[in-house]
Amino acid sequence: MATSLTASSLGSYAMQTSTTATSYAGGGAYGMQGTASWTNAGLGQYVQGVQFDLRTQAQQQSMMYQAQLRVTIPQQRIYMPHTWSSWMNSDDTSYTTETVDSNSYDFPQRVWGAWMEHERDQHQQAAYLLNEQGYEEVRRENARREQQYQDAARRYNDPEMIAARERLAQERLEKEAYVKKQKEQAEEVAQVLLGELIGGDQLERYAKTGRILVKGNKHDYLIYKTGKVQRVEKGKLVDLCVYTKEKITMPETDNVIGLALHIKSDEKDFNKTANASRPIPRPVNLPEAANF
Amino acid sequence: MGELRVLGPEGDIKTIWNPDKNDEVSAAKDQFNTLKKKGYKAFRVDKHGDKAEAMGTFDKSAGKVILVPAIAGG
Repeated sequence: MATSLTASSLGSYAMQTSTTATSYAGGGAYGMQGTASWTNAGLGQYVQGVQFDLRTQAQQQSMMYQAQLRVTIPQQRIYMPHTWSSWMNSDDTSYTTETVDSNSYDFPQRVWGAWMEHERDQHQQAAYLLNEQGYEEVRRENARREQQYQDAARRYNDPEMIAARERLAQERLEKEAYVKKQKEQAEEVAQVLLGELIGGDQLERYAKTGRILVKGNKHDYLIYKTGKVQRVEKGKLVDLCVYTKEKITMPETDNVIGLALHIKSDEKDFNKTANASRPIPRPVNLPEAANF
Repeated sequence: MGELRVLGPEGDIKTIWNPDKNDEVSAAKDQFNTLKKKGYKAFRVDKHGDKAEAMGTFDKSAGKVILVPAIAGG
């Protein structure tokens, strides 16, 4: 068993403890385990007080590590000599002779009170130990992380590291420029092919508008360079989700050519493959587009 | 002269063949069949692209053939 201390958002760690009685027999030990609440109702107020004190104390020390700080402290084993039963029956307890007059009218309450006070002392001791140990763990963790940050900052500001970063950034820029140039060249090639299919005038219109109008047997289709496809129906435009499978690697215009050829050759299959979305009203005049 | 245009990352790759030269026809046919196996669709087009016609098998007399990756719905 272990106890978990968690740094709260207030920059502190809140000690959340509850007793888990592994053995409450006389002379037995019980472990302290970090969970959500104090199961012994009679001790709730006290533990709440400990939590509050801890919070203010730790808050001053761990402001830097306000979140996600978790430390684990080893199990605390504290001997709890008596259960209620053993307290009542034990010969070495003194409630009958020192604490409680067995003839008094409030005898049961006094016995109970004496036991609770005894137990409370034990819990107080456990909480105190956990508090101290947990605080020390947090302090050590803070110091360790502080050292980590300092090391990282030192490495970050190292001239060699700075030079390496700049070199990598430069290489990245060059690579991006190369890829961009390759894509532009591929797009030019694709537009040459499109020009062969639709002619120079229509290619100019395509370059200007970024879309083509494909006349199918049943419907017309607007294919945008960006990949958007719309089926033109009577009084409405239907967005279609359809693309050539290599679209990501191909130039945009090649995707346009591929879709247009599919429509021209097998419109039915094209519509079967495409996913249609909710139609929108068709504008009176379709947007300008090159004719395929 | 026949012309095979394969759409791809570089735009398109052009392969031409002379129908009278068997080795050129054979090379073009091999490429055609390979890409068909990969799922490409072949279209025979006229000069203006008006008549795109799907091709199932290689035809050495086809003028311009464009091989396009298959389409998919999103």
